[in-house]
Amino acid sequence: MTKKQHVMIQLETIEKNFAENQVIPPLNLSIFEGEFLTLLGPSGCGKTTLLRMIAGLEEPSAGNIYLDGQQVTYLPPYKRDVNMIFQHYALFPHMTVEQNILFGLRMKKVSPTEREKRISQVIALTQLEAYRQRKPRQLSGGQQQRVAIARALVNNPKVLLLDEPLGALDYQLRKSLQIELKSLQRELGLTFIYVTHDQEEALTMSDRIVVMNQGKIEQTGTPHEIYHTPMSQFVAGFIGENNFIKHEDFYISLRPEKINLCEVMFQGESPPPLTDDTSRLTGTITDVVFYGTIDKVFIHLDDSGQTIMAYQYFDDKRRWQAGEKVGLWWNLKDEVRLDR
Amino acid sequence: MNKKVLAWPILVWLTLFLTVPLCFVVAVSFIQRSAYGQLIYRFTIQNYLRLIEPLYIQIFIDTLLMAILTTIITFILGYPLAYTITKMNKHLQNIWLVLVMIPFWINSLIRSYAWVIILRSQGLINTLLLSWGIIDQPLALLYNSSSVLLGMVYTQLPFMVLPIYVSLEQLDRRLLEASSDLGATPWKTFWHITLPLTLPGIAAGSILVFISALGMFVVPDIVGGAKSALIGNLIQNQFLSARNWPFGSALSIVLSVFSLILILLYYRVLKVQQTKEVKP
Repeated sequence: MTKKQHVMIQLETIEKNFAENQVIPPLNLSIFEGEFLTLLGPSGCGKTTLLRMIAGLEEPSAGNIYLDGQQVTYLPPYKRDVNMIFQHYALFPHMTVEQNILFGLRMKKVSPTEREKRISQVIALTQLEAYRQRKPRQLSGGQQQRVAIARALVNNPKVLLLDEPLGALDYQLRKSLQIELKSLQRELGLTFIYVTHDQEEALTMSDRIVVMNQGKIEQTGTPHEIYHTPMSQFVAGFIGENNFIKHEDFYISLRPEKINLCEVMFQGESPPPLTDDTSRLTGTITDVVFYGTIDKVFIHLDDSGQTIMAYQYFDDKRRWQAGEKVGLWWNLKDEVRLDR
Repeated sequence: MNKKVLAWPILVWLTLFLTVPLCFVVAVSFIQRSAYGQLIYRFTIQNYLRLIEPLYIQIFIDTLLMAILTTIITFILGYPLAYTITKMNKHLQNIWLVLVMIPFWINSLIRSYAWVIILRSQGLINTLLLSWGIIDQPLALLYNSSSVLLGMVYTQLPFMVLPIYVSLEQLDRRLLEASSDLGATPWKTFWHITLPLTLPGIAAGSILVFISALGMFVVPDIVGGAKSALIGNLIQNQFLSARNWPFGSALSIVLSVFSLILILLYYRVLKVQQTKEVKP
């Protein structure tokens, strides 16, 4: 989190209905200046709608949006000091890279000298010098992505909105652009609002994550908080992998990497009693699946009949086989109690 | 099975009913005729030389002007219409497209006579204006170049609306959103994004309208009366009343070549646009 806590965008009981459907029930959210905030959730959770309302491309059914203290709820997109990077870039096909980038400045009647200064800056920043005169369709996906970024940044927006900007790219390119985008954001100190359904992307890039489900905010927090202390079953299950163990009236969640496996010493007898900081169960391995860096071990628990999944990192003395009896233990502090 | 077999029926059809007659027309345009209209099989280029007589040059210029005006007016009326249709919901869009196309289903002769009924001295408009006391003499609405233009625009409008509608419909809405996001007012978005990206549709519509307006003879014949003489009417006259097939053929060939050049130009422009985008 940045030191300055100046609120850049304030959403106040924002609400959106499409026809009869309530897509977003009343919702409040503050976004601070200079932060990288990610809206994370499954498709159809309302994250893109929320972003489009901030951009002005969608009007909220009720509520207010403030940009840098100013009411902008019903301001059209062309009067808002925010810029968006669209999912499939939406570059203008009939214009060159240069014309695309200059478009915003031309619309705002920025003087030619100022235009030239700003375009050279962003072109250097996005390493597009060699492609100035090309048309978008002559560029690769990654280059088009850079043009989209340059076209938005050149306007010096107060907030940059990114709608799954890396969704159309292949895995390797996505990885490297994630790092580029993050360092760009840090360098410029610009407020980023990033929409994605990719939890890994959210965890690696964000200062703060807003997890959304069915239009509602499930949890807001740093990637660390979201991962380690999920507040609902949805968050616990959506981010990373998780085991849910049912108690009388609540669940506990337990990350598979926190579970240790051991030989069952007292076969046929009850396992050793629980100490203060560890927990112990026994079960039978039903399946072991190789994932490269890890083995995923699926265990059928003896007492509850539930299936639990644990990661094994090959640093153990042996690899587990399906059909084996196994003991499980973990630190109690790694348990997360979920009330919803 | 060889896929080319499927193309044979249409090839045979085109050969029998287009290529062969066209060859006849070309051939006939180079021979003479007797005073009574019989063809005399002797070579001449007299039929083509006659075309540069001022009378025919004038007719050619009139026809060109009429076709250009028709194209411009159908564009001015057609673009907003197509634009409005694309803004409607799917259901309304279909209704409007059918409305645009309905005139196609009615014989053009009948449609032209409908205009006569509307425009003539005792027609709908004059009767109404007279009975409301707005005028006391019937207006001469029919049998002049305005009525011909009206009839032309009316018959050609769908040819302009449909290609423009298609190109507007294919326009990526996200580009318009991006433009608005980048600070362009709706009017600027239209001017810088929508209009340039629908140019292919405008060009296709204009070519269709212009070329069929060039050869049109039914409409000018019926709503233009005896006074209007466009190339289409001239050709029709040469074949039917004047019985001068060689001259009629020469006129037809000139008109066809002219249209062909326009179509080639259109493809050339399209091609240049595409290669420009491919080459770095």
